[in-house]
Amino acid sequence: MTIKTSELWLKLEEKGIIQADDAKHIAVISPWYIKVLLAISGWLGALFLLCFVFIALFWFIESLVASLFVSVVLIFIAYRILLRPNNEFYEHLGLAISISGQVLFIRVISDWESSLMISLTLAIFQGLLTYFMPSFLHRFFSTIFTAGALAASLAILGAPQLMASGLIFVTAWLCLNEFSFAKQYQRVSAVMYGLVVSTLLLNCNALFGTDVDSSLHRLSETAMQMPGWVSDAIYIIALVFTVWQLLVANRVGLNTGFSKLVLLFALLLGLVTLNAPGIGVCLVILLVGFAHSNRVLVGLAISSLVVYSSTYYFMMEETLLYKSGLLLVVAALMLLGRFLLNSTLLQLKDK
Amino acid sequence: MGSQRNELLSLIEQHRGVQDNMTDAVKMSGILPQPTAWACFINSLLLWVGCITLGLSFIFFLAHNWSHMSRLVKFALVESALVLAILAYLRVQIYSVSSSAALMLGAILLGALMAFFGQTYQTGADPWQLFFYWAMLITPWALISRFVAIWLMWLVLLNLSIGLYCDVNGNPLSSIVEGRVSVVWLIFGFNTFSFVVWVGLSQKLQWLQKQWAIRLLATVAGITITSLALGYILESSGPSVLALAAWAVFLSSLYYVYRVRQIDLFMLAGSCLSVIVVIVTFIGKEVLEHGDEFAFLLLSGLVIGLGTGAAFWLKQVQQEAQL
Repeated sequence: MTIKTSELWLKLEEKGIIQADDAKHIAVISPWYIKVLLAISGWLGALFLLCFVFIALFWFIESLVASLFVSVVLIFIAYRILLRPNNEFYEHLGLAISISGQVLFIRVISDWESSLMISLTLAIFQGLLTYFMPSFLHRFFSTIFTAGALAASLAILGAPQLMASGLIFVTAWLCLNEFSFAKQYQRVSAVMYGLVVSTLLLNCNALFGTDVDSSLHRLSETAMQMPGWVSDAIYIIALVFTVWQLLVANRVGLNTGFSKLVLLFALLLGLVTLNAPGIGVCLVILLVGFAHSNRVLVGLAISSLVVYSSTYYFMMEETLLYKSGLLLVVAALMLLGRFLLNSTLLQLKDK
Repeated sequence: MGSQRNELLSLIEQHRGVQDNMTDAVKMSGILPQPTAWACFINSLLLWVGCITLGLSFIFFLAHNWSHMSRLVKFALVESALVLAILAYLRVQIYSVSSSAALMLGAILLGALMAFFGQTYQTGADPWQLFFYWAMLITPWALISRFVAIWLMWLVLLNLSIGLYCDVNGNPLSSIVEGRVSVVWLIFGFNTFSFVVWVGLSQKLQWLQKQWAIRLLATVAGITITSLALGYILESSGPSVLALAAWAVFLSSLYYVYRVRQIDLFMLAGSCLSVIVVIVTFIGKEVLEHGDEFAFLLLSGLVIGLGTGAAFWLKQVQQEAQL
């Protein structure tokens, strides 16, 4: 079926939003796995290009100023290349050159004494790339690096879990409001997927997350440590916020008994999974993915839930007995929730 | 679910009129689930998460080996839960979400019971036997379930038992072929066989026609044969050139089935990636051993060229599929 004969096209044509001739100008969007193929070859190409730059121009980039100059030039060249629309070759080339430039930039700032300055500069640098680089893949990766660098900065400042919990808000909100940015959709969709992956990575790293956080905190110049309950509270509020957003989006009155029950359920789930945030976050992504028929988000959430559940067994912070109890409470909450949902829905049906 | 969304996204990104009438376009695309769809989804989600976390909770509890509870009570606990899961299966409608969830819970609990049995009576069995007999015992449930996830769990258990068996006893293929044969060959053979059988049966059995499961099996088989081909290129110590031949046959078969007979872009994209990785490794090994810094530039150009060619070809196939 061509796009011109699709049900949506015909409906939009009937409403006068599009015309039959417009089909000539609509290109087909590549599925995610073609983008992954592009990304992997872009990264591999960048790796080799970087090796070449380092070996061939070692005498030149030995100086930090020269490295900075080469990095800026490479990124500018990549930007100009990526401006050319819908061309796989240029997208590959642009990605490879940009990644090489970014590595050189990191080399320059890695010599600084303050770890906090390094991570903050990296976050700002990647944030700027996210905004300016005209490529889906580039923006996607730059978003992940921005989130990672900000998380590292907060960990150094003594607030290791703040980014992980805070990011749930932004991610859920953006996923549910992605269509509010029609004119900026390419930019917003790349950021959205980048945020989803960052949220999952930061919340589902059960095995080594704590070790990474504590080693980052050791780099801190201050002894300040944010109390754990702050990020816990943000995590719970983020879960409730997502459910509230979903209720609003689906025009369910917030004063109804059903809404109150659902919000209470989200609150309880947040409380129960405080020490296993991967469960709550995967469920959030699953829900926002389903809300806009986004199969990629649904698939990501299910795979992350499976991986998180498997690695949760090996997490050393809690005993197996504690984890068993936590999972039992989650199971009871889910099955009770299902029972209540069915009774509520049946009651509504009867009425 | 996905195709309407992709269509809408194509229009949003490229059509100004659609951008200006976003709310109407989103409504017309039908991507926003109706209340009944939401109810079904939440219902299934709560049931599945509930059952799986319950099963995991039992496994974690038994693994902890809590000394305050006697063995008898632990056995009674897990056996009662197993019986309850099966009773639940018998009570609910057959082939429904609830029946599949009850059987899945039963399958997980059976494994927990077997592991606890081994832990209690120190049977001396090797770890591979636990996973192998677990898979064998859940086979009747998998057969009656008509449920993809239980079959995938069955395959995972058998893959684990193959790996663990070879760890202890070595690869049985080594006694047939001269030299040490990697366990990856067995994993590749088993998963390719499962993939072929699954695809064959899915022609007749509708419940097996889950695209994601077929793709998952193809991915596992593809990764294993690609790693064997890479192993041959990098070490040249595997069972001769057989790895490269098997890799070529596997990819040619995929091309024939998913390009000539029907079109599946996922399979073709995976094959392209495998070809790129193998070619770059092959040329990279030769060039880097004898070349200078320009060898890296050559490799970079090669990767970008191959990736671009693959993406260009895949887009052409995609357009052809949509005509």
